[in-house]
Amino acid sequence: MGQIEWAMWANEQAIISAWVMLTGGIIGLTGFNRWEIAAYSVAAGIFIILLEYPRGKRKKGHTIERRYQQYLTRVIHACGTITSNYYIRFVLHLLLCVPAGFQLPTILGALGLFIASIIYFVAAFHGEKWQPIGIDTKGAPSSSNQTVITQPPSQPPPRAPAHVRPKRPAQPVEGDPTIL
Amino acid sequence: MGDWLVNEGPKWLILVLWFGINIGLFVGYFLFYHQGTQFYYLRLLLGHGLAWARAPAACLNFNCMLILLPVCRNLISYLRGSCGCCRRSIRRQLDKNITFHRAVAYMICLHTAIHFGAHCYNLELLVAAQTDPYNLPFFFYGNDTEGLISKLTSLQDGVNSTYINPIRLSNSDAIIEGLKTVAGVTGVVITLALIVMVSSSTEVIRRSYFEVFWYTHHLFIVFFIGLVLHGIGGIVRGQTNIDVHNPEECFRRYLEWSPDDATCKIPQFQGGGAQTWKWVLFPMILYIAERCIRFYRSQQKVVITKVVKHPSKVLELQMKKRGFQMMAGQYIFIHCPSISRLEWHPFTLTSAPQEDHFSVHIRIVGDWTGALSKACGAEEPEFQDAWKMPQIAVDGPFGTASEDIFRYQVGVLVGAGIGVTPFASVLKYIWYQYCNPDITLKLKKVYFYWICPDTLSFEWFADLLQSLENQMLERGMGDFLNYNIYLTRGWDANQAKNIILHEEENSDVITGLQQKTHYGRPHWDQIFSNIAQSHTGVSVGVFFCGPKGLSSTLHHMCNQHSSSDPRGVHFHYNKENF
Repeated sequence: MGQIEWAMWANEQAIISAWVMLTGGIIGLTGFNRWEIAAYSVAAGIFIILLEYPRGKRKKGHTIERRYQQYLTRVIHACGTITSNYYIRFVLHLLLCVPAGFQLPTILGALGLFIASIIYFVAAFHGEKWQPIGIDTKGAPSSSNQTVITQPPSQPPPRAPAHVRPKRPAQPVEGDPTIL
Repeated sequence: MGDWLVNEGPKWLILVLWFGINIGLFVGYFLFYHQGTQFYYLRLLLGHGLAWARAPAACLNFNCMLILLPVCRNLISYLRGSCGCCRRSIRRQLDKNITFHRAVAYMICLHTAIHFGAHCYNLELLVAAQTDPYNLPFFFYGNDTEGLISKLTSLQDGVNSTYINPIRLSNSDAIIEGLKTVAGVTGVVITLALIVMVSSSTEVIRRSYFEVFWYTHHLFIVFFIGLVLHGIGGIVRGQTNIDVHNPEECFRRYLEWSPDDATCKIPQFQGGGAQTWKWVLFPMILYIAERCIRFYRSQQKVVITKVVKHPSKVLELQMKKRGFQMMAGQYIFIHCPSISRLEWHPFTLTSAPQEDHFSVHIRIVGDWTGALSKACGAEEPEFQDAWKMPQIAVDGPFGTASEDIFRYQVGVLVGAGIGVTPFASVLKYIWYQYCNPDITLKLKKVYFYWICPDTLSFEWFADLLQSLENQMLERGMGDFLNYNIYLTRGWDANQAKNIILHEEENSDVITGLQQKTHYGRPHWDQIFSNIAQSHTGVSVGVFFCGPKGLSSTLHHMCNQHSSSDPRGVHFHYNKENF
C-alpha cells in the first residue's frame, strides 16, 4: 500500500471527531459536572474544525476542495511549518484530546481525536506534509494533465461546431441532421 | 407525471416506507417508555432521558438489521433473477443498493448520536441520584421527589427486593461507572468503530485510497459483536410487580412500602436483557452465507485467454469461466489472490453476451490495477505464456442489463470519459441483436455520444467503434448507428494544424473513424431538438453514464424536449450504474 496518503484520512477523522467533540461539549454545558471541560471541548472542537477544514493537496491527482476552503487555506498556509508539519498536528491533537477525555459527553470526541492523532503520526512517519491547494509553492509548475482545468482551452478548436458552421452543399448525409 | 411515477415512483416508495418505519418505531418505543407503568420509577430517576435513549435504540436495531442486506450482492443478484416477472422499474431499485446502504448508515449515525446523548444525561443522573438525591443536576426537573429518589436508589438486591439504579456506589465518577458496565464499554467501542468507518468511507478516501476504506470497513465485525453484547447487562430496569405495587398510586406512600403492605409491596425491578440479536441474527447469517459464496467463487477456475495492453494505460483482459452468463451493461468483481488476499474490485464488462469470452477494460490508475498489469505480464515486451498468468477469481455478473434500450425506437447513448465502458458492451450487444435475422427489433436508430477530455483515452474504444463501423458498412446498414465523439480539451497546436490539414479526408485524423471528431462540448439543446425533429412521434430512450453535472443537464433536456402531446416525441432518461 505505497500510495496511501494517510493524512487525508487523518484529516477526515479529525474533523468528524471535532464535530463529535463539539456536540458533546454542547451537551456537557447543559448542567453536567466539570462544565469547564465541556467549554474547553467546544472551543477545541471549533479550533480543530477550522484547522482541518482546508484539505491539503494530494501528491498525485486532483484534490477535491471543501466548499469555501480557499480562505482558510491562505490562513493555514501563512502559518508555515506549524500547520504544515504533521508531527506537530500529531502532538497537537494528542494534547488537545486529553482534557476532553475527562467528561462523559465529550469522551467519544476525545477518543476519536486520539485515533486521528495516531493516523497523523503514521502520515508524518511516511514523510507527508500539508500542501495548500491553489497556492503555488516555490513557483513549482503544477503538472498540467492532472490539475483541474477551470479555464476553457486556450487553443481555438480546429473546427467549428456543426450548428454554427455554414452548410456545405457537397456531401449531404441524409436523415441525420446532427452531422454536417 | 405518469413517466415521473414510473421512473422515480418505486424509489420514493421505498424511501417513504423506510422513513415511515423509522418514525413509527421511534414514536412507538418513545411512547412505550414514556407512558409504560413499568417504567414509572425509572422515569422518575431519568426524566425524558429514558424515552430519548430507548426510541433511537429501537431504530438502531432496525437499521442495523437493514445495513447488511444491500451489501449482499449475490443475494441481490438472486432476487433480481427470481423476480424476472416484476417490472424493470422495480428491479432497477436493486441497483441502488449502495445508495440505500449509505442512507441507512446515516440513519444509524443520527440515532447513535441521540442514543449516546440521552444516555449521557441518564448516567449522570443515576450517579447523582446515588450520590446525593437532594442535589441533582439542574436538567433534572422533577419536583419534590428527592425523598422518593433517595428511597428508590437505596433499594438493594436481597430478600424481597431488587435494585433499580444500576450505579451502586455513591460519590463515583460517571465515566468510571460507565466503563464498569458491558453496555458502556461496548457502546464506546462500537461508536468509535462507527466513527472510524464513517471517516474512512467519505468520498475522497473511498475514491482515492480504496484499501483504507476497504480494510477499515471490516470494523463492522467489531461493530456487530459489540452491538449484540451491548444490551447483555440489562441496565434499563423495568418494574416487574406492578400488579401488587401500582407506582402511580404508591409513589406518594414510599415510606410505607413493605412486603406486608397489601397494595404497596416493595417494587421489584429487572433488566430487559439483550434484544438486538433477534434483529440482526438473520442478516448476519445471510451475510456470512454471502461471504461463503464469495469464497467459493474465489476457488473457481478462471482462465485468462488474452491480455491486451492499450496505449493509454488501459489493460484489456479476456477471460473464460465455466457456466458464466452475462447481459450487456453488467459488471463483475475481480479478485487476484497474488496481489491481495482480501480485495475484490468491480469492473464493467465490455464484451457482448454473444461472444465466447468475457472481457474487461481496466484503467491502470492505482496500486492494485498496477500490480495486476504487472502480474499479467503487460509490462513485458515479449509474449507471455498462459501458465505465467496469475490466478484470478471472478464474482458476478451483477447489475441490471441495459436491455431497456430495445423498448424504444430510437436510442441515445451518452458516455463521458471512462463512463463509456458499459456502452462498449451495450453497443456490441445491440449490434449482434440487430444482425440476428431471427429478431425483428423495435429499435431503429442509435445515436451514440462520447464526451472525452483528451485524446489519450481514445485508442481502445475507437478500435471497437472502427470494427463496428466496418461491419456496418459491409452489411450496408451504415445509418443504423450514428456516433459522435467530442473532444473537450487537450489538443495542442500541432494537433490542430494536423486536423486542419486533413480536414478534407474521409476519416478523422485522431480516431481514424468515418465520422469526424467534434471539438468542445456538445450543444445538447441543438442535438435534442434535431433528434426530436427527425423522429416525430416516437419514444426515445436516453442512456447516460458519467458525472453528476452532465446527468442533470441531460435529465433536464429530456424533460424540456419531450412533447406535451401524447403522440409527440418523448425522451425517457435512464442513468446507467457505474
